[in-house]
Amino acid sequence: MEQEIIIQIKGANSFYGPKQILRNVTLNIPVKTVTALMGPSGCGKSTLIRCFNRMNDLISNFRFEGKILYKGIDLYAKDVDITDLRREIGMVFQKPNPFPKSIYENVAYGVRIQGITDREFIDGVVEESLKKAALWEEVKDRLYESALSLSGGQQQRICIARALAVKPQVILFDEPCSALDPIATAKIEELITELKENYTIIVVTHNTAQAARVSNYTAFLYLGDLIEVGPTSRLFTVPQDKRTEEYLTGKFG
Amino acid sequence: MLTEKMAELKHRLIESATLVEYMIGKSVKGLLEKDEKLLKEVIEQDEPKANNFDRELDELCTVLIAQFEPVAKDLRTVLMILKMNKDLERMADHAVNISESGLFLIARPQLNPLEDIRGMAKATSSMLRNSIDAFIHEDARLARDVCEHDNIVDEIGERILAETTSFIRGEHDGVKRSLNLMRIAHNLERIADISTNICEEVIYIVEGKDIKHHKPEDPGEPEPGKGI
Repeated sequence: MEQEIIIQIKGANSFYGPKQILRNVTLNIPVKTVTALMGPSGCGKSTLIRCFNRMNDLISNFRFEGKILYKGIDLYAKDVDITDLRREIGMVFQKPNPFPKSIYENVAYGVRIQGITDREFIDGVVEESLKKAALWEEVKDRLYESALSLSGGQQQRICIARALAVKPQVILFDEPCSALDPIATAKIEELITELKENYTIIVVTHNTAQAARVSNYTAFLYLGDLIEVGPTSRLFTVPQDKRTEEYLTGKFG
Repeated sequence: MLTEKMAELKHRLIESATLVEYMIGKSVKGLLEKDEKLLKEVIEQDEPKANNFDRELDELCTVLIAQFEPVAKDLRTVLMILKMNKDLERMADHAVNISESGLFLIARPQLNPLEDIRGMAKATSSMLRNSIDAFIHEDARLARDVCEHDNIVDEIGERILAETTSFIRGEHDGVKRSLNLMRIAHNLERIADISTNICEEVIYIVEGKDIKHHKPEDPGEPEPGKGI
């Protein structure tokens, strides 16, 4: 059965000033799966993931060429509303970055800025999002305490709940566990595996073991080139490209 | 994640073991009841299924090691499942051998009452069943019991060998039938031996102890740093 593709990257090139970061990357992201972008530092994986919700637009000398189609719509077309785009394609960052507000307000934020004021509705969204982020049981009695009082792993799950509250289709995770201890990491990984039932997930990681554990598909990037992409079970057992084999077996990177 | 994958792997191994147990039972039943259909089923239908299990389990283990890097008991379990998979594949081949010889024998007059074969098959099946039960319940005691019962099968095997040797001496006509009977006995004996291998593998999973090629009184090498 052919899997439905939600994001198509076609001939993506990107530059910071004169320096080329991505080189002619073409890649399909299947819907409701976890795709891991893996590679050594400087391979372009973070640049690529930030193209999906145009986070790179914030960098003044950034330039993008090529096409990224989300459900067939060109994300870099002039008439794309970036706020709408970022609601559909949410993001969780490397370091947990909750707002210095209560747990409740962190999760409610995205709904409030849409102008929604119905308290009952917002209560529902907060509860549902915290449940989906596997955090509700831990925080339901302290919703009005500061989110900054939570542990690192809990703060990261608050950020996931905040992303889920605006009902995205795709969630981008940029090294979501690099600031967390092994137990908090395991919880986030388990959560990612659960979320793929309802969302399309793209994870950037330099941790090959993490890519192996959480993803259905893995793309290996090296010096801006997409070297190889395929089902994780295949890529980690019989990689097709010698460079993938060498990276996975620790010969470089 | 790893927990679910491990459960799936164990489940597939148990399914494969169930098929092999069924194949062995069928091959002996086919011989004893002179049922050609049963014997052909083992060769034509069941063996390809057993081969598929072999391939699938090999792949599941390889992918699980590559993706999840299991350690400690999980690692022991995956490694032993790889071995058990090989064991089961061999047993399925033995069931095919028994069926082939069974097809030869049922088409000809019977040399002897086959009571020893019946007894040997019963003891062998019970060993296989217990070895799989020991795996399912992670029961090292049951596994040790099975290893101790291997001599019952060996004794019946010796008896069959002696009896068939005397047939060969006395009746020129019966040589081929005798050799086929010996082949069946030998294959049953191998199944019993492999059942004890499975039990050694179960003991390694549960206790982390390698009892292969060890006599019970063998204390093994002292661990470095112990008894200083």
